[in-house]
Amino acid sequence: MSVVVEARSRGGLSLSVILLEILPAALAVLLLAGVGVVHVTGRVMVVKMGYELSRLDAAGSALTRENDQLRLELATLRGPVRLEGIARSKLGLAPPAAGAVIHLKQ
Amino acid sequence: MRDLKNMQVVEGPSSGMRLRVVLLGAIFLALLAVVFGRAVHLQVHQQEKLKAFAEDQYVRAVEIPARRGDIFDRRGTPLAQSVEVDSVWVDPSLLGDRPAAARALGKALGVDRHELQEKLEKGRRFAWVKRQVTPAEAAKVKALELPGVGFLREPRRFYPQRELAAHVLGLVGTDAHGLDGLEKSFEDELSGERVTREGFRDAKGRKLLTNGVEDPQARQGAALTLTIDRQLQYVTEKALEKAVVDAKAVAGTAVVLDPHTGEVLALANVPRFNPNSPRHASEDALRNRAVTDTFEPGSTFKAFVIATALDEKVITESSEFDCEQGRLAIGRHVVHDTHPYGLLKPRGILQVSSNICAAKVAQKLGRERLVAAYERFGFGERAGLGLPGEGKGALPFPKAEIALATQAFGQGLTATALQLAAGYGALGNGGVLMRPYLVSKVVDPDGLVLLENGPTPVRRVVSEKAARQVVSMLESVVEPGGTAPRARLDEYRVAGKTGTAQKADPLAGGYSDKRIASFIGLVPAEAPKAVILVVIDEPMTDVYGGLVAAPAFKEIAQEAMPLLGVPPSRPGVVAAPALRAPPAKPAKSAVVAAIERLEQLDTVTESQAEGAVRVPDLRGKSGRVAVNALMGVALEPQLSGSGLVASQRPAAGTLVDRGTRISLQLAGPLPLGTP
Repeated sequence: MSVVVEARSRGGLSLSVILLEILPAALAVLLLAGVGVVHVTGRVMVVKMGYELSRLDAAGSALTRENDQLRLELATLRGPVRLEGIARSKLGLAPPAAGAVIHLKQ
Repeated sequence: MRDLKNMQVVEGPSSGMRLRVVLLGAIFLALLAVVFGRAVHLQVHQQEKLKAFAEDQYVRAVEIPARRGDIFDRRGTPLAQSVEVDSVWVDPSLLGDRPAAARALGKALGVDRHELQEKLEKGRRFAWVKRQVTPAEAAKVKALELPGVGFLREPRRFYPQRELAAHVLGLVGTDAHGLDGLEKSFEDELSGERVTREGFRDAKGRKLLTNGVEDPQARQGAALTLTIDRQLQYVTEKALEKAVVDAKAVAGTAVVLDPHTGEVLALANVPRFNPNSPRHASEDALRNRAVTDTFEPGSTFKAFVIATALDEKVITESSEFDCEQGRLAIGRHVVHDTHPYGLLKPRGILQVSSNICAAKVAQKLGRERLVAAYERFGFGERAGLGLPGEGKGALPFPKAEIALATQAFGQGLTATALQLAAGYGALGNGGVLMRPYLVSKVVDPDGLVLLENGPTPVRRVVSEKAARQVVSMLESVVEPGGTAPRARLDEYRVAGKTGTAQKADPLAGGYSDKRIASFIGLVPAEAPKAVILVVIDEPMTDVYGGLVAAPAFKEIAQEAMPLLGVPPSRPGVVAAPALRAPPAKPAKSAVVAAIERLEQLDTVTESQAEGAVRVPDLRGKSGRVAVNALMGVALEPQLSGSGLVASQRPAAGTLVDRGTRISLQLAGPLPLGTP
């Protein structure tokens, strides 16, 4: 026989008995609320991480782009026409004659 | 607390009341069923449609363009690279004053404002203003702060070496598809894959990626490594351009090939074009003549005739032919030589390039064997370089006697420059024809090798002995008395052949008075490391290959040999480069110059002694000066350490045989300014 029925049979119900009666329901509500909070927190974190990922992806793309541009600039600066021009006009260099390049035996 | 014991029991509801409750319940149930049914309809039957509507509001699928693979030369120098640049678009509905906007955008981007205004007036929500703009142009447009103007990043192909090897690399269109050259041939490998990335977009228009991002390498195309040597390509293009300009010619072609591997080291065409701005180039300049154009090669073919005749034992090195004093009638045709000659041996035929004697050798060889030999050398079939539009040439069977004669000196048949270079490569490779190739490796971004080309022997075309004999004979061509003394190098032995062919006239039929002058050579002749072919189309100043093409050959060969690490054939000969004095360098004192002259005089005197030479005193000299001094007297230097020469063995003044190894011990710091 349940506690409430027992109390009724004794002629009255105390507060503690009533609290005891609604405890499972309260616990269930708390559990649901907890699950809800965890779920919402998770979703918020996912959204936050999504924004962070977007930001990092954009930053990564910008860096890749800058790297590509710098590599291109480097390759352009190393172009043989430019190098020869500088070597001849600024440094007074000339290509070595074939016999001037000596290959030593190991 | 309420007294529950005293509570009265309420009487049950009446039957009317019960009916009302039941009815009300039924109504609610029916309404609930309707709501449930509607929910099922929306959630199940219209799910796809409604989901799409919803996603359209907040999900954005962004297409990320593929990243085209780079192209490198054999030493890893980038020849083609892709960089993302801005493309400018506009939503005309958001623009206020369209004519003013068109004017401002046109000025900033260098676009015709009338065309632009026409686009804006069409009333669409999207229109390109200009694609793939420069950073400066993008900055100008941003500064205008026009509403409805946006930027989209698109990859653009750049060629940092500009015109260098442009015909080999080809072109890429605005939509990132290869249009010509290797860019077209290797489109599948280079292009990479477009990926679609899905993400949310919030009310403020910010991106929200919830499914992660793909690996950037997933959309990257494979990288190509070529056999081309950037420096050698530059030298070749420079020499060819000079030759074409000097000869006031229409065009020119040059090919440098490794005869042992078949690697194409340089492939040049003039006129050139800048692939970064191909719109400015004429159609003629875009053509890769070395691969697509076939021409009658002329006397360069005589080497194949002599090699085959020697191989077939139809002739020997000492066989003599009567060159008929420069005039030979065949039927109603007359074959001429440039000069009258009498009896000539095969070496002499090649040296003076006698058409008549070459024709007589071909007659002795016979039609079938001549054509079969040309086919073995790779003529009449594509070389298989993999470039678009590769020509294969025409090799008609010489039924008539005159056709046999003309084919012996390279007229009445056609070949590409590449085929000709590959044929001479076979002579330089001991008689084995190698398949020419341009792409050595294709590697995907993960490092997986998709394609790897290596030396591939096609077939033996003549015996090793016959090949060596012909190469040896071809050395006489660049000597005094030959047709191309201008191709002679002081430091390296050259085996080569000139060609001066008449051009066919497609309109009038027969031959025109226009010529194709060429020179092809193997260098160094004793162990060829490069085949160099120079073809000059319609030279105006002179028509002979020995005068027009040979100097370009010499210029290329002179710079190619040190680049390829080939030691000189004739040690001790050091030609001084034409040095321009550095602008800010102090002048050398007269005393120092006189001492240096004396030192040079000393070494030259010693080198002229016969048999033995005296070891020069090298102590205190820099390694380079010491090595030069030893090479000058035909002694072999062996260095150890760094700095200045501290000791030498054998000692200075010792008489030793030429070629003796002299050990030099270097030590101490090298003073500034020491050569």
